[in-house]
Amino acid sequence: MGCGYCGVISVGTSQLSLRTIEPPAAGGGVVVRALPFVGDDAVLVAAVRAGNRAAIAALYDRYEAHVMRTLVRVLGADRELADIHHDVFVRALDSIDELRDPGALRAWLTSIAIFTARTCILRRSRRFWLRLLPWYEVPEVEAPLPSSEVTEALRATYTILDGLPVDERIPFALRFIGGMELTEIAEACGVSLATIKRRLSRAEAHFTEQAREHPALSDWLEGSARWGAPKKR
Amino acid sequence: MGSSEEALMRLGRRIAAEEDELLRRRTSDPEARARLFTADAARRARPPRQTRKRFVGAALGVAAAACLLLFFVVVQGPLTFQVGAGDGAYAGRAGAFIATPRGRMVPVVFSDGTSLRIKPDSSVRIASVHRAGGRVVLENGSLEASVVHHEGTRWLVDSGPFEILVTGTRFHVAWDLAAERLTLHLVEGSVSVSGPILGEGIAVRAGDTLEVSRKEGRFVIHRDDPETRETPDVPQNAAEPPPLPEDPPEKAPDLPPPAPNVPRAAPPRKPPLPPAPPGPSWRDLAASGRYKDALEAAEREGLGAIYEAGSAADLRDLGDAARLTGDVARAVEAFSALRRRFPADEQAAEAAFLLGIISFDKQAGHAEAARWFSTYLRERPRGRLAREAAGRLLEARLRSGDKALAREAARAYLRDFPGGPHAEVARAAAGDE
Repeated sequence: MGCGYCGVISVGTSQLSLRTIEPPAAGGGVVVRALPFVGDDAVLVAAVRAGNRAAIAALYDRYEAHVMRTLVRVLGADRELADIHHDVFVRALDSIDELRDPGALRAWLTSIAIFTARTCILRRSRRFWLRLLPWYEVPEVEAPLPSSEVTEALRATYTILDGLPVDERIPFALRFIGGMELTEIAEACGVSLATIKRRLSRAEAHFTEQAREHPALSDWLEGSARWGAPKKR
Repeated sequence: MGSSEEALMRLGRRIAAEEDELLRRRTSDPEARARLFTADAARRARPPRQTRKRFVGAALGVAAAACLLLFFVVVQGPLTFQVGAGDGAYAGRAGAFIATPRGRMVPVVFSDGTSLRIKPDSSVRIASVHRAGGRVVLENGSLEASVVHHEGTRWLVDSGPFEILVTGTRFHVAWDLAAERLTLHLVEGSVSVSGPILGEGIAVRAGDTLEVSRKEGRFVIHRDDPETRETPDVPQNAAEPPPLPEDPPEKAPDLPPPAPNVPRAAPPRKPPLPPAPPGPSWRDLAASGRYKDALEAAEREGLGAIYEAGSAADLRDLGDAARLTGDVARAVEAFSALRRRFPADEQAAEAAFLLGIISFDKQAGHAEAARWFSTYLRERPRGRLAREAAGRLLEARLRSGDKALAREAARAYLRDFPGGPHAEVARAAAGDE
């Protein structure tokens, strides 16, 4: 399959790794570039399991935004996001052999992102208690955010979420901020639908109670008529 | 759907839209995929997990959970670290101050695999360690860091007024106290640097070199690729940074390294040193970092003769070799000889500081330590170790229990080094808080 100087030449362990050869530069030499990975999630998973680098790159490119969005929904604008994001993909590669349905790759990655975020939240809460010991703690610094009314609401939301139990916080964030369906949340969290409903109910009550007392959120919760334009203070 | 739930859904959608906007503005990390490849290669290099029967797995799981519980509850403590290499290495502890001699690099290796290479003529304090990182204060000079990333890893490197947040990377950092100039070169990964001029924090990525001049109030980031060079908030005529400090030349263990380049002509009317025995001299051994061997060779050569006829550089080298192997008595002897014989020498002033460190760290002699730190400050009020000496003087006086003198030291510290690493302690001691 050739086209002048350009041709698809091959094909690593399967038909998935395609490369082009570009015409020699003036000074000689050949430039070899990997083409985008071709194949659905099932093909992608098979190639990742085989250690195909192009497939690993494609896995990252295909889902990095989704994973980052999931993490942001749960954690907010967190300074450690980049590292947690990296950890999600490392964990995914580590356990790719355990993925039973390669077609469910996206949901599986969502689940790993949620569990990684959960670990991060629990680690921080553990640190809080360890502060009682003679221990030098690195201060957490929030990522800089632009100032606006919505941003204040965002910040206040995560401040309240920080105070909720992690198993209430995560379903709440996925449901109300992530807009996920209850069944999706149950699957991602690895619990039953009934459990998710119970946790959401508790989280909603706790959040609403605190949000009504918070100046940055109270207006947003006062009836739907004013929604989208909270009253000016 | 109830009104409360409706309101929450709307709030959530608005929050999500705001987050999406933040994500849209996020700059992608060009190194992220490369780091993933590295992680995958490391994963594949590990031995494969074996399939086990379910009940074995369950039993192991219970055992692991019990071990983890024990680990978290009882065992897990802060990282440990070792200063130096080979026979001369010793276990460090939080608060350790490491002043590297001229021409010598001192390695520090932590139990999580993280390592520092403190370059010659530098002063560094391992201010604190915890189970997943710690805080290193680069008072002056430069170091190379290779931070191993584990879950939760967080290291802070304070360089003057700048703070480098590290979670896993390799970099070189240099802080020139006199010029108030920070140079940071990232070899791998990324870090966040905050401080004056930089604000809350800017990301520095692999291949970048960040140069900050506090005096000139400017910073510049150089990229490996000249076509992508960035100069944020920097005038066009910003000066090019000087090259990064270079490593001391590597020395093959079998070959004697060159002697330190400090003149060491013996003073007149002193007896000549006895001829050196065959094999590498103690100076050669010290210069190659084999401090314990150097000390033994010096003993064979005759310590008394060296104390009486050696140059200032000899005595400093001998004292450092003794100090770095934990031989307090000989370190004190060498530094005392240095001060007695070369009272006006820069090395003598630093010997006073190091005698203070020895009294403080090794002998818990806080009053004695305070006297040595005061001596250094009196002799070199603007010396390269002045800030650390002032901070240590404050600590020593606090531990001596003399509140009035501690208050005086605290006020002096705040006057001279208001942004220094002891400022918080000083404010508390000065009674300003």
